Amino acid sequence: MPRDSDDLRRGTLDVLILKALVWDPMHGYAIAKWIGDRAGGELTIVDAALYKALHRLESDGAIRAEWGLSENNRRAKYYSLTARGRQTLRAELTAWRKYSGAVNAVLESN
Amino acid sequence: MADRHLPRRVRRLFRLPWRSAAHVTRDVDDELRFHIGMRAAELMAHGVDREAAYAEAWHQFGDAGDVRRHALAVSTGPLRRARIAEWIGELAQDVRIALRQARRAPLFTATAIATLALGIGANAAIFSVVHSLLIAPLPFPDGSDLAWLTLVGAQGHILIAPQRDVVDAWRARAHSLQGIALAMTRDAELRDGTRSENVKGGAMSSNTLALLGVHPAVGRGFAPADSRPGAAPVAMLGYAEWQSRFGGRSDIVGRAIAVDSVTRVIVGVLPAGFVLPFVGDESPRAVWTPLSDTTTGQFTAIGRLRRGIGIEAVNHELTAIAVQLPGHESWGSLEAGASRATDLLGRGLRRGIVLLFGAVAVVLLIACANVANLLLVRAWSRQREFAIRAALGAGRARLARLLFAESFTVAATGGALGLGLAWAAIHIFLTIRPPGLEDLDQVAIEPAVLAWTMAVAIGTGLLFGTAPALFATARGLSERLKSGVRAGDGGRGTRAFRSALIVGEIALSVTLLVSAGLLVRSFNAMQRADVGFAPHGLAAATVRMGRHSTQDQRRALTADFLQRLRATPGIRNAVIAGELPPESGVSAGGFQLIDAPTAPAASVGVTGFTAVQPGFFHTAGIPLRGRTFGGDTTGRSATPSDEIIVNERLARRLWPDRDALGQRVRIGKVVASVVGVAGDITVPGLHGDQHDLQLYMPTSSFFPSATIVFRTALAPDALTATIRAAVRAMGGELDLWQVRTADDEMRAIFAGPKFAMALLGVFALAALVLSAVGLYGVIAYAVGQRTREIGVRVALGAQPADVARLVLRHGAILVGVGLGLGVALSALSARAVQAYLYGVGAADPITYVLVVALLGAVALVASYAPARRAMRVDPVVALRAE
Repeated sequence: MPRDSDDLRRGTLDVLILKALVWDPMHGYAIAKWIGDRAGGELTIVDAALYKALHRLESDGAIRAEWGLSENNRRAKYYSLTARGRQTLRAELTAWRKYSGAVNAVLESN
Repeated sequence: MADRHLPRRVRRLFRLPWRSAAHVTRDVDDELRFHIGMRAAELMAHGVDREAAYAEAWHQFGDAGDVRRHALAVSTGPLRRARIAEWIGELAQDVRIALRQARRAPLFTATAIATLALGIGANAAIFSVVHSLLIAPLPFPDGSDLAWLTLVGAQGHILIAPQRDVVDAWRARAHSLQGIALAMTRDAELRDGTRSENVKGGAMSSNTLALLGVHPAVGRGFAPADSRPGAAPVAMLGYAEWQSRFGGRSDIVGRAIAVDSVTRVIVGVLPAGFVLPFVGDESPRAVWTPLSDTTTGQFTAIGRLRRGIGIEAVNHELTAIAVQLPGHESWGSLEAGASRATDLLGRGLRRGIVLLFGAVAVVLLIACANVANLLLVRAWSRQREFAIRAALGAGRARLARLLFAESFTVAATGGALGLGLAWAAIHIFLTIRPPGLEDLDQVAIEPAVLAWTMAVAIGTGLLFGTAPALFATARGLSERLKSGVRAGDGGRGTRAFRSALIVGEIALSVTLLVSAGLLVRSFNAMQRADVGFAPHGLAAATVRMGRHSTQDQRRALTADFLQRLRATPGIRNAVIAGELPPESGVSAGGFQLIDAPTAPAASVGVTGFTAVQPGFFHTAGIPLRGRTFGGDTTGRSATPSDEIIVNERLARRLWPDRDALGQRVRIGKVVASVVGVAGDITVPGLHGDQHDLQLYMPTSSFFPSATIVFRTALAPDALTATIRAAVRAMGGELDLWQVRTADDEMRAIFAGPKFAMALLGVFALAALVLSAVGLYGVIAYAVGQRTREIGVRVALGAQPADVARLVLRHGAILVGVGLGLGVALSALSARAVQAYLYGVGAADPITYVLVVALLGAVALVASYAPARRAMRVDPVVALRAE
């Protein structure tokens, strides 16, 4: 799937969300924390952008949402990966590896 | 919002917008509040106070309104359109896959499509019959509101045309009708210059076309002024006559044409195919004249019901008006009998159609079961493919949709082919249509039939597509793939389901075969039945005399013609008679018993009157007690009307406790005595009421047409030629109108039952073949699955006979259960056929035994082929194959 770089940057948050949901359904707050923890503070994600991405992904059918009870017994919206989301993630990961490999190759060449 | 209650899954299926705008906003707000709450709680855990924590959480969040707007935008609008486009794209992909699958397995596809085409085609053909006869029987706007108005003599059950005074009273006082049109059909002589021709003509009242909702193709219809005495004579032409005689020329209005020697001015042309309903001979007429307001003959009254008025209410009102009229006491109790076109089909045809409709539905069910079976086998053999698709991310719903796309592709192709089959079947039938089934001429593939066929195709697709979709996408598919279970092993559930399908098919086939068998037996009984006269070799010739001849001239002409026929070789026992049996007089009259043991008023009866010459009973072969009329045999009756002969039924009805011979009745002003009692004419399948009670009197008046009944050994063609020669020898004073044979009449009467029997037979055979194919498929497949087991058995010393027994037992169990169920089911379904049976009971043991034997034999053949294959299994090959 050939993509231009701008597309890919915009899609980065999407991939991170999909990646976060690979193993377990999570609510939005948990996703934000999960990404924040993994990035070790290097990535700051604006919450509003995160939710916009979540809603977009949901309407694309990559993730689906269901209301459930959170760990502290509050009503929370849980997102989980759909089959299509898994496919997208796989494709995005491949593209990302190629892209970052290429960028690295350029930047680290003498 | 009502649509919020739709289950999520349904929304997903139809790709409806998930939620309303308010719902989306509330959802987003709930979600954000949770997020803010969590973040604030985290901050408070680090010692920040509550107010500051919430402020910080909102600050970190960013623009909440933007999130809300964005959520609204993605849940509606362009994305929804995109989803629909995507869905269609996926569907196209599914259909492409389906077509590829079809090409990959041509034999499977051809079998499935052919099976469905048969089932759907039979359905479409019978539905077009149902549509044209039962749903839209009259081709007029709101045709179902049109009714034929008659009077019924309550005692004799004789249909009579209402007299003029009755119609006038109805027109003036009946509120349940919008209007009454009167019409009459008759033969007419058309002369245009020197060319003269006998054609079918008719007369109608001036309000007829308006009442029917018909507009003339050219010119105008009749106006009230046209039917007044002394009005300038006018006529309307039938469309076909306008085309053939006048070449469809546009200046036809205003031309003159002679109808029965009266020169009339043509005022208009009726639309193509215009046929007046209820008039008896419902064929297009060449010429129409205005029915004069003073006409008193036998006309047909057609009423249009007011909106929402039921037929019972109409009958009630018309009866109430009729009985108040003076001069109707002699009829005894009278009842109005309004009937719509659909009501008139009651004479067997309607029941027959419903029966056939049920039969084709059963055939279609069997076809569906067969196709479901085929698809199941195929779905299981493609299990690996599905597992791979599932592993690649296709959800259960996506797989099911793929399978449904395949089913619908098959169903749509089968439906299209079926429609072609139905069209061809109707076309062929209409070209070879036997006499007596003229009602079926209007059958055609109409838009409603197309819609029906489409619905049937979709319905069948759903019906036979559900099982494979359910079984093939069952959970645990990938586990099965991983565990390496052989592809194609259906598993217990599917095997049981497929067996149940076969058992059901066999049971349904039994019911159809039993019904068809009963009809065949009944038809045989009908043809062997004693009809009360001797139809074979009985024939009649009807001649017309000039319209302006007098009674005496007609009497002399008829007598001359009779003499000539009697002298003609090949014609014997010629007599003047009102009707050729099995038809009998429907002209009805009242009479009164004299010396009756009961009160006079109660003993008045209404019955059919037939005027015949003394030799009629001998000629027709009707047994007679007592004697026939006195008088000579030349056409003159010595003692005109003081002698009558009644049939056995009328004798029993009028004089239940004494011999009818010698009893006296008053007919009009004449007192007549019963000199003979004639046998009843009973034709199975023809339950016309006029055959119930019959009164014969000597021929005394001579109408412009006369019917002469005789016995002959001549073949129909030779007979017509002979009669024509005799008519020509009369020197142009007579026209030959019609030559009929009783054999033809009987054939026409039997045409309906025979047609139903033949169709049901064809459907039953189709069901038999389909079930045999289905049974073969299931057993052959089972043998294929058990090749290894059979190999082991053979290796362990099983003889070929043991192997064959193993396979045949499988078939025998399925067939045995199916037969048992089928016989039980037939006991119920035979009730539907019962009303149609003659001389054979619905529980006729011979039929059941024959059906069971036939199905058993066919099933044995169907299981034998796989059994042979099983016997030839080579253990070495079978075991190595794993």
